[in-house]
Amino acid sequence: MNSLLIFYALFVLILVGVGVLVIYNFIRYRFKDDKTLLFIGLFSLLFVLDIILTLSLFSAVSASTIGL
Amino acid sequence: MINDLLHSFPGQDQNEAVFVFARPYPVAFLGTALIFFIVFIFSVLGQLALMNTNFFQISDTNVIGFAVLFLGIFQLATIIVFLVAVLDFYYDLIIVTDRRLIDIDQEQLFFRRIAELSLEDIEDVSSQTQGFLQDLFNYGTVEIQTAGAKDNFNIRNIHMPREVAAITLDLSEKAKRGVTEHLRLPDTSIMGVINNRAITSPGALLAAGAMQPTDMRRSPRNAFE
Repeated sequence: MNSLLIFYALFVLILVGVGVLVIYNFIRYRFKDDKTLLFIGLFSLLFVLDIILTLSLFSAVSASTIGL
Repeated sequence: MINDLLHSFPGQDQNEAVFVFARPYPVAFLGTALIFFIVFIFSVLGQLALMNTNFFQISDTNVIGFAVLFLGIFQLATIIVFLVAVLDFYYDLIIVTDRRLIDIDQEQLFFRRIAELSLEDIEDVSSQTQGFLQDLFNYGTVEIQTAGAKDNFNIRNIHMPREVAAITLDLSEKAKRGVTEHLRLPDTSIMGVINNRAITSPGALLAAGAMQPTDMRRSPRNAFE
């Protein structure tokens, strides 16, 4: 179970890196008063919430393993 | 430095007023957004279904844990792909100034094409709305035919395409008649489209930041002095 979590953390780090690259690539062309930061904020929030959801489901599965 | 309307593309002159600054209309993105939403929701439902052992008949918790994390990674990748799609769509731009037309196409993540056309080189401008959504929300395609061997410009999913076409054509005709750049002002009832909003007076252009405060066209009286 722990090795699965390590792989998950590794993939999350890679995806965060890709996300930062994407944001950096676009943010150079942003305009005053445009919606770039709103998009980035919303997607970052969704990203974090998704990690929390996945980890909470995974911890529920782990807890049932301990129970067995 | 963050761009603004008076510094919206490389090579913009200091007193170059902007009459059209338009991004694709958001309604045109609904189809793509719906696909991403369905994929994401099904993935989350898959995770929740995995927690219910009766649904997939899997009893090995290692397999369930792996599947939950795999779907989690899939969701995160979907979020990033969706962000790229949103920004790809949002960063397409058409800009019409008192001396040129600029078409900025964000085609892929690292591919940005900027095409420029002098108003004098515009041969004809037409607009087209096609289908129920485009008709209902007043967005469509503006096609700009160019003189000579230059490629035509097709600008898709633009809000108020008729108005954008009329403004571009009017400015082009003024340029061909030899009207000085800093005196060109569209005679159309809507004289500008900035961020999908109709502009009806030079004062509103000034307020939108599309014109220098010292511009002679800021009030109609000054424009003809």
